[in-house]
Amino acid sequence: MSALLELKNLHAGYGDSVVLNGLNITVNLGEVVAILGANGAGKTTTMRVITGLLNPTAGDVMFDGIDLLKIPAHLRVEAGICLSPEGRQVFPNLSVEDNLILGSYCPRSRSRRKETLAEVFDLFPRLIDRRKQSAGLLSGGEQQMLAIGRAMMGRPKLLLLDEPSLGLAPRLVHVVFDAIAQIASSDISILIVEQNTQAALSVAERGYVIVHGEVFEEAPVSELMNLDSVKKAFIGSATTKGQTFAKRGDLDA
Amino acid sequence: MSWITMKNVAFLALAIILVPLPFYSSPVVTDWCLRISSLMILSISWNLAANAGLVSLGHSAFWGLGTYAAILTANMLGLSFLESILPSIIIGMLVGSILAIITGRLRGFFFAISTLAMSEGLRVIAVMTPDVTGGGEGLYINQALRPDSETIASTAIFAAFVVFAISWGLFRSRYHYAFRAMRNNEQASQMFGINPRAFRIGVLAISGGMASLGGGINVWFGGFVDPNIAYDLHITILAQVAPILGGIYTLIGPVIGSIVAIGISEATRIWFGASGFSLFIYGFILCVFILYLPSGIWGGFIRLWRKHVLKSDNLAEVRK
Amino acid sequence: MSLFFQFILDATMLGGLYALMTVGLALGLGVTRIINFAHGDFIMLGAYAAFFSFAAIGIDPLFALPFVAVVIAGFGAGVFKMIAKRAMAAPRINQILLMFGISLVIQNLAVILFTGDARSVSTPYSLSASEFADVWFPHGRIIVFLVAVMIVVGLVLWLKHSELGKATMAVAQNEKAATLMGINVSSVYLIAFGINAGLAGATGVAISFLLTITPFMGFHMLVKAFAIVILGGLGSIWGACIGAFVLAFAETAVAYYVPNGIGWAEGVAFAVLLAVLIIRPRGILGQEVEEAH
Repeated sequence: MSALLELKNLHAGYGDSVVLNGLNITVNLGEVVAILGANGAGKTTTMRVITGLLNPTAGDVMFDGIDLLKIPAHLRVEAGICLSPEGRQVFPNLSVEDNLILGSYCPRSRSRRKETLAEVFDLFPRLIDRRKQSAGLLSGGEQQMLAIGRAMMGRPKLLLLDEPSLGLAPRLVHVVFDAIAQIASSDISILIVEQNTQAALSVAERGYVIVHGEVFEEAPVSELMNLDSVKKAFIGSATTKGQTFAKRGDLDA
Repeated sequence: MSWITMKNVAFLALAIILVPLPFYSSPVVTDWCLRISSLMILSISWNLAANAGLVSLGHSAFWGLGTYAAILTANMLGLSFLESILPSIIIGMLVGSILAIITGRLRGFFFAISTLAMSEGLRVIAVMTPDVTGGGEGLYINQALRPDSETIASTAIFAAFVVFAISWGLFRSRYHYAFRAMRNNEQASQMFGINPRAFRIGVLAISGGMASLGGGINVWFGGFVDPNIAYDLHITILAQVAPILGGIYTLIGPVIGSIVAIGISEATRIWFGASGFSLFIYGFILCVFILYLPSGIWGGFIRLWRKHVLKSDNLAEVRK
Repeated sequence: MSLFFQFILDATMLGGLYALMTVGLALGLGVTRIINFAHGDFIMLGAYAAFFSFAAIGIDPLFALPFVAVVIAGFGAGVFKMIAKRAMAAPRINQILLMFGISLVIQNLAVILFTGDARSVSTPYSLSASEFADVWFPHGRIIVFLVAVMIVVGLVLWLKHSELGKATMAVAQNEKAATLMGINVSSVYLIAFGINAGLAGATGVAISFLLTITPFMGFHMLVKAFAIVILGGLGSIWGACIGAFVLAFAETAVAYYVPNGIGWAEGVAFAVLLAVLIIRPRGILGQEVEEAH
């Protein structure tokens, strides 16, 4: 399998605080990969580095053979990377339809806009009724659908999903992840970041568990679900019980 | 706490030498003394408010109010020069407090626009109430009461020292941290036991009173006021240029800035003559300093000093 | 009765002019969050441009308007480009002072280049008027109103329906998300500021045959424009339009119905401003104002 996205030895942070400590992640063509971890482990930071909203202090980001770090943030969509951000981040005073249209702002996707729009409405029929409404008035679940739909409008090679289950009622999580599963069945590669392990593992093929900005465990999903160490790491790093897995830098926290 | 420190003694000595300066020097120097002192008073006043995060774009309001207060009390009540200063200060403090109350907790842009509106509004009021203020035609001060220029300049110098002493006192007091906190995050300032509302009223009252003092003293020199002179935009501009030149937020910045600004004004007058030039240069300085030297002359000096001092420290380490 | 109709007519025409004067500022503010204190000076430059093209080449201001607007838009964009990097990173206070400084520079450059003498442009329609049913219809003002309405409507349509217009609105609403869509936020900033300057220039041309032209004429308009922006709510174009008409009607009402009103009408903007800040700082259509910042 050829690698579509490669994060090599990534270091990044905000000001003096270091979040990513030598992260190594690979997403192969057509794969669906999940990144799991507790709050503060560095999941969203990883997304930010990939989309260019944050510059890493060290390390490489290779996408489809090109050095992604040389490409400014607003050109990464053209390269084929689209993100559904944490917290949705829709344009509140624009209509649902305008939000989607903006998703295909980049030249590569703009030419196929009509076609893509139809596909997105197929994926999320709920949005059809709402197409003229202001995005800010939508419910949480609908906004999440909009965020994903908007990302899909960019006709990505790699779809990034940052915590799509955040703040959603379980029933809606099902609806959203059904749609994600549908996307997964196409040849689009997906990198999904989640706190909700179950939901993530329901669509992913392979998963990483990151703790304190480093990969703690990497395995196919079938194995991940059973690893004791993973369960402990997950719960452990969020409370003081996880001393076994404490890394250097903990005392600085 | 002993008040007899090196700095205090030096300060007093300087005051004793400089206050009577106009009396034993030429009229040119007297003029400079008056202008520099007035600008110092104005810029220390502006700097004080800026320190608390309150950027005033209408400081001419206070100046103008002080001007009118002095002239009106002199003409209507026969107050002498020194007596008329008191109403100037009082009205400045009063309006400053009112401004603080009206603007509530609003800061930044909203506060700035309020000050702009205030100065323009006061100008309009001055124009529209000719019975009181002489309207657009202006008002002459009662000639019989006018003292000589040297007295005015001396008073200005004395006032400048007093104003500086007040700001010095505030910088050294426990409010120093309150200022910084207010500038960054008003919520945090409450941790210092400061009531943000009361603090804002205090700051603006003092700042307002100082600026009005400046206006009140100055009107005696020119002997005439009209709404455009009193609430002149140029006053507002000078109030900002001096602190930014010298070093915004610092104690000595406005002092340095005032001297340099008046120097520039004199230089452009001598070299270029035309009126637009000094303002053009002020605007240019404002831009250049904000962009490239935001901490002003004093800030630049401190940085160089630190480099110098650090160098000496390194040598000391090596010798060990 | 005819006085009332006159009042409505005058207030409406003034409202249109104020809308043109403010809408660019509201856009620039909403997108870049930088407070353009040089706004009034772009208006002034537009007026001078109209004057010089009229005096030197005899071009009617209305024909010159599109060109002047474009040139001043370019000038504004150029100024923005020079300061953008440092200005965006600087604290609020510095931004305000910087724009104030730029305003000073432009104003006094005008004094040096054009002298402080008042200028005026008189076209055939500057002073002419028609009467109908006891109401005076001044030609100049009506033309200004129509031009203003055209431009403002044009701007709103552009924002709602064009690709770049939508991108601009997106940047105003959520910069990070806009970047994720592939929108070059820096370019949009430049465009927004350019439009701000361009519309100000257009306003200047429009008033060139109504008011006397001096280097300092911009200041009064700046304060009024800000009053309208705050009244309407920061960052809201519709709010700016509504605010423009509210102020225009308030001013005209004072001028008509208050004794000595014409002089006091100038002060209405400040009274409105203070009232808004005390009662409802967010204005008519604005977002909640974060008080402690």
